[in-house]
Amino acid sequence: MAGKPLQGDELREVYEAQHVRLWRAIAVWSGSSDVADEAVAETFAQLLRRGAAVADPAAWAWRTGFRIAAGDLKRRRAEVRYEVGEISLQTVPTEPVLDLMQAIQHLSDQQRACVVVCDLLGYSAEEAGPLLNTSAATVRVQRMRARRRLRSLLEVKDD
Amino acid sequence: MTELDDRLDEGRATVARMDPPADLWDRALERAHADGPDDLDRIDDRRRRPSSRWLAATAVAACLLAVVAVAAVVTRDDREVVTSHQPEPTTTTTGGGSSLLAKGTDLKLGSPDHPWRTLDIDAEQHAGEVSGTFRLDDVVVAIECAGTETGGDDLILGGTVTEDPADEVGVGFLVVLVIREFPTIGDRVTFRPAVAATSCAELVRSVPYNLDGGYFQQVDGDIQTDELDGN
Repeated sequence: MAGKPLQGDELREVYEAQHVRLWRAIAVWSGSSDVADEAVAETFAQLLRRGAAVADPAAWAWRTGFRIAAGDLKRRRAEVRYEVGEISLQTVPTEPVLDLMQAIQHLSDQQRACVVVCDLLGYSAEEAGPLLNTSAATVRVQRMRARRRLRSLLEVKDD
Repeated sequence: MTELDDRLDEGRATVARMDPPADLWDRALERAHADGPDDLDRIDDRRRRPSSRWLAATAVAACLLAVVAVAAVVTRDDREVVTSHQPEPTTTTTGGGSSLLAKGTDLKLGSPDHPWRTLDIDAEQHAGEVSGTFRLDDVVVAIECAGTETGGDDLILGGTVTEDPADEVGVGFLVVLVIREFPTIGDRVTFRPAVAATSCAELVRSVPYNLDGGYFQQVDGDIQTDELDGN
């Protein structure tokens, strides 16, 4: 492990600024609040261990969080067929929202990440690019494809 | 506003009411102070890992791979190619039939800053024999062997160039295509000539553990990979 640990307060600030949105993104992306719990806790544990070795802790946390979640999902899928719909919502979602959440699970990993981060969390493509370790242009392309696919899955009218 | 936008608005409002458990920070602190393996060191430590001789040799190629130009660094290998060798079989074959290794058509390779190239892959395994082709623009490679990187998600396809009208690589050369799954941004690939391998299997085995992600080109499109997807 390289670098001195970040001061607890500094890292705590990063946590406070990022963890809610990161958790929401991973929960919707993975379809599981358990996966999101695990990924966010492990991400910040890793960040605490790495300390100053991480140049951009916020962006690192997003990239790492998704990677951890992907690994977790992969293991779960290998064990049992993964059931979509574990997300624990604090309020009862309407049927259209449930349909949307289920349709999102049918997108590719890349498209799902772009839709979740941009359309459900409100990031711009320029902001989402570094968080997803890709370019803004790729985010825009994948988001466009995702929306096309969602329209088909949800059987809603075209733009 | 479209109907989809309305749905997304409603979804956004719902997501905004989702909150993580309050003890995540405590969990992180507990884990951070616990002894044990740091399972994720490899994620972002790639650039700090010591370079192997293979990596040093391919670093030159990696620069050129920014535009996927591979010809300049290829060393001709006239020795016999060991075909259909699978060094570490890792895919599942059901009922003695064929199993998919990787498939993708009209994949766009590169980034907005670099020219796109088109990649097609169709690789399968049957009774331990690996076969198929991949095409990068006009360069066609007959796939002869495959393997997986021991510690990660890389699927490695090796083979011999069979068509190369622009003499970009050279017919008869050994090349390897490495497919890596990037969960949040899709798959990426890197396309490499043989550096010192004398056989396809040796070439596949020579791909180092945890090859730096910077060597990879992003793929715009989906690569179906049974092994990587764990299907």
